[in-house]
Amino acid sequence: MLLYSPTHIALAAFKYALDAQARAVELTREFLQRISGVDETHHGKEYESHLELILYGSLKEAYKEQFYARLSGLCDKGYREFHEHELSFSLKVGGPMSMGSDVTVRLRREFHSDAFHPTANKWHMRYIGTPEPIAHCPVIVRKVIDSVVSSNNMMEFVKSLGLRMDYEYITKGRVYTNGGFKVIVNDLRKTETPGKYEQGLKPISTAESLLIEVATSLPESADYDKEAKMLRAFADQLRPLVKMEKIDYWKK
Amino acid sequence: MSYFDYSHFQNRPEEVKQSLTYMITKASEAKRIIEDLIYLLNQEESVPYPDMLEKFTSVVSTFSQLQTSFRRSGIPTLSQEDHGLILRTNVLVPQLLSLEPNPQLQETLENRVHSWNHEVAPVYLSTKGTPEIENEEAALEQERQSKAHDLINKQISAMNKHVDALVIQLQALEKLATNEADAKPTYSEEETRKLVRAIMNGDTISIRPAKVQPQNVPPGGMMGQQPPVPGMPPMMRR
Repeated sequence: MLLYSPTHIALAAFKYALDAQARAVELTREFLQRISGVDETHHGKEYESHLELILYGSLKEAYKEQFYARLSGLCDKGYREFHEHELSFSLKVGGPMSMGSDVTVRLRREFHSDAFHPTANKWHMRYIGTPEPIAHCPVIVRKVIDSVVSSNNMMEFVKSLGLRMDYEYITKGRVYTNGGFKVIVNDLRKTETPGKYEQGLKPISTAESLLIEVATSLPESADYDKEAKMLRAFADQLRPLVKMEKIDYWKK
Repeated sequence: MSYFDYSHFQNRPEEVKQSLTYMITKASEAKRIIEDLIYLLNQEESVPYPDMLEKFTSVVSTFSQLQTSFRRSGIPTLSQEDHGLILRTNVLVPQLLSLEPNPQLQETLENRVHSWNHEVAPVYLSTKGTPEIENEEAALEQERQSKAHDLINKQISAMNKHVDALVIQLQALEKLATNEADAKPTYSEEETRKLVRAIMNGDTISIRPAKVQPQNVPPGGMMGQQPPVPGMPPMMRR
C-alpha cells in the first residue's frame, strides 16, 4: 500500500521549485542592496543617502576560525571575501578660525596589483556623517551617502576638487549577512609610504587583532529605535568571543 | 469531496458526517505539512531552518488536535466527551464490492486504491493491529507482569540516580567552559578603540603633520614630511 502518491509530491515539488527561483532573485537583489547600501533598482539615482547603524568590536587573530564557525551557524549560508583599499580625503573648509569642520570623503576600491583589472576603475565613494549623539541608543547611528563611480583618473579628479588625502589602509576579510545585518571581519593593514603597496604591509593593530563591524542600513529619517534594539540583540549573540560596542571615536 | 447520502442506513447520520469531514480535513492538513517537510529535507544544506522547525510544530499541533478530537468522536459541536462512543458504535458495512477500477474512487484517494474489491476491503476494515506491533506490545506486557514489584521500584530509583549524575556532570562541564573563556580573553577593548580610531579618524596612520590642538597625539612615522599631493598609486600611472 502506498502511503502517499508520487504524483502529488512531484506537483508540490514543482510548485516549490518555481517559487524558489522567484525567491532567489528577490534574495540576491536584497543581498546586494543590503551589502552596499545602494539600491540597484534605481538606475536613475547616482547616489544613495541612508542611515547606518553600526557597532564595533575586535577579535584576536588566534580565535578567527572559532569566530567564523560561530558566524556560519548564526548567519545566512555562505560568506564573501574581499580585499579592498580605502583612502580618506578631506576638504579643508573655512579660514584659520574654523576648527576642523572639514568635509571627509572616503574612496574605496578592490585591491589589485594589476592596473588593468576590470574593477580597478570602479570606486565606491562614501560620505560618513557625524554620529548622532543619542545616549540611550545602544548603537552608533550615522548618516551615510554612498555612490559607485567609474573613473580612470580618480586621483586627478579628487585633487582638482580640492580634496587632500589624509590616510589610507588596506582591508582584507569576509562579509557575512543575516537578513538585513552584515558582519564584516576586517584584517587592517597600513602602508609604509603612501602609494606603495608591493612590500609587506604592516598591520594597524599592535595586538594582532581583527576589527569586527556589525551594521545595518535604514532609509533616511526612518525610526531606528526598533532596528537598533534588534541590532544590539544580534550583536550580543557573538559574545563571549567578541564584545560589540558603541565606540565613540568622534570625541577628542 | 462529495459522498453518497447514507442517511437511510444510519442511526445518527449528521454526526457521523461531521466527524468524518473533521477527521479528513485534519488528516489532509497533516499530510500536506509532511510533504512540505520532505521537500525541505531534500534541500539539505540550504534548508531554511526556522521554517522547517515551524513546520514540525504545526504538524505536531495538527496531530494532537486530531487526537484530542477523538474524545468527542471527532465532532466539534458535541456537548459531552463520549470518548469515541459514537464512532466506536458506528458499524461500517460495505455495500458494494466491485472488481473494476472506479475512477471516482481513484481520484478521491489519489490513486492509492483503484477499486473497492475483495482484497482491499478486509485490509482497510480490519480492526486488529499489525502483527509486529501486537507482538511488541504483548512482549512488553509480559515483561511488566513478570517482574516483581520492588524490583521495578529499584530500577526506577537507579535510573533517577543515573540521570541526576549526568545532569551534575553537564553543569560541571559548562562551568569549566565559562571559566576557560574568562581566563583567555579573545578580544581586547582597548584594541577595538585603537582600530576604530585608526580607520575613522586616521589616528596612527595619518600622513598629515600634527594639528594645532595640543591634545592630539601626533601621528606616528610621517611627521615633518611633506604629504605627497594625493598619491597617485604607482599602478594608476599610465
